[in-house]
Amino acid sequence: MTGQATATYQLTAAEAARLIHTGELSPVVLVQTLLQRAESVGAGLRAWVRLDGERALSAARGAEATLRAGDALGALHGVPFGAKDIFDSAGLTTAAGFGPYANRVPTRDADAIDLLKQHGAILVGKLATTQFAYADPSPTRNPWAPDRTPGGSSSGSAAAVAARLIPFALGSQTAGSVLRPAAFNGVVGFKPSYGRISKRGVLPLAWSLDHVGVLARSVEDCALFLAAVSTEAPPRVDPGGLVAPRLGLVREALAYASPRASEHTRAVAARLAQAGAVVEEVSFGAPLELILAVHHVIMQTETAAVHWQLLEQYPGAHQPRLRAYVEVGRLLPGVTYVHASRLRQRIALAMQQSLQRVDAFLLPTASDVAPGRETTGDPALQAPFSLVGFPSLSLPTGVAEPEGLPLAVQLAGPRDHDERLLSVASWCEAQLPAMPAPDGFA
Amino acid sequence: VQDDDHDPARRGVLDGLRRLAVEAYGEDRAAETLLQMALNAAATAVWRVSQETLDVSDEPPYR
Repeated sequence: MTGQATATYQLTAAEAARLIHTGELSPVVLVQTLLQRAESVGAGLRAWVRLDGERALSAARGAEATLRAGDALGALHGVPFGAKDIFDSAGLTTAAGFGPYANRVPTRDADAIDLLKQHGAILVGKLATTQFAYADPSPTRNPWAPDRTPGGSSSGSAAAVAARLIPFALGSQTAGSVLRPAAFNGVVGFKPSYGRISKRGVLPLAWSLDHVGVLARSVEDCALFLAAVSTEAPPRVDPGGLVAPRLGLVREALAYASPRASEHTRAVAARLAQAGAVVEEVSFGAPLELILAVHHVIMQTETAAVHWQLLEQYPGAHQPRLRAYVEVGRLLPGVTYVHASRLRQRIALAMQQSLQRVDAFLLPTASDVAPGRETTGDPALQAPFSLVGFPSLSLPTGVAEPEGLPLAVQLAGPRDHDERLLSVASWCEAQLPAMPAPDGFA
Repeated sequence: VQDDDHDPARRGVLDGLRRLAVEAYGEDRAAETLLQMALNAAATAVWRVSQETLDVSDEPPYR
């Protein structure tokens, strides 16, 4: 990266952090630039639901004072970020797209926000979510094409990162809500292993499936993020020192995806093989339709348990798809939920065994490019890893013609081997062409 | 999850869920499109999960 050649708003989080540490970039200038950008090119996207400009500028001035004083700096010192509007933010409304929460102002930050701030990052504002992170589309536009969905539920997070409104943003995933928006917007999306990041202060959708994740513009930024918020030791990612990985092309996923997405994934695999990766076909270890059925039963039952009282307390306040999902979820038999939970253990074991042959699965992130705005897209190829709690990451890999929409591949590895997955992703990223910004947002 | 309208077991699950929906929410609400779609998807998932046999000594639901 050359600081002189790259506009401030285009910097990744890691690039910005390096320039801030060396005194070449002012956190105040960076925050001011992004706030101005939110009001100009960002206004039509509807990615931000709430900016916190005054406090962000105050934090940036504090970051500059710390720099001048020569005090120890956090890894994300002075780097701005946004948070999906289901993460509690102290003194700043957290509404989750739910009308009755329009004036809900938490007194304490979610742990993920708190930890990012402890590492020096600056919260600029809150980003649009589908209501309670379910599937009713949000008002956010896809910066690549306004008539296409940005995906969901982390719609605002993905669109804002793609449009260079913010270097990175917090998201969450219960089925596919980090990786699918990442794919539809041409950015990197990373969902760490279940339990790797605290969910305290994050409004739930389905407890045993909800994951905290991140949207960013490089794998290096995902590693920085994990190091900051992880409950365990930080990962080390060194693309220069990595050996080419063994990758397992997941045949059930290739069969499910559109011919275009499937062919594109095979082409990416061929390119990675040319660079030295060993690629072979593998199986999830269980039929995809069974994996999705188990995920469906668990998610719908837990979502109903989360929401049925709110539904009665605030009649008419829930979006129509979420309302129907909760109403039907209340009718599902308890024995089926327990049966599905047992099958979940069997599926996780089978998937773990499939992964013994390779370093990571390789598959399309989404079944095709972003569809129209009446939907947030199909979670079928992201949900398997939400079910088993394995880490997964979406890498942007090109632009589909004639629509000019982003394509992406997904990497997934064994549970609690997040560092290894990031290393594999970093190696793959280095072999692939850089993803451009959408037209009008470069 | 794909529907399989021809499977009698799945049809039975769907009919059972529809009856429960009518009891809980009334005929009009139960007949609305989004609720019907949610019932269909849930019936397929419940049916598919129920197809899988687990021995009593197989996996406990939580580790």
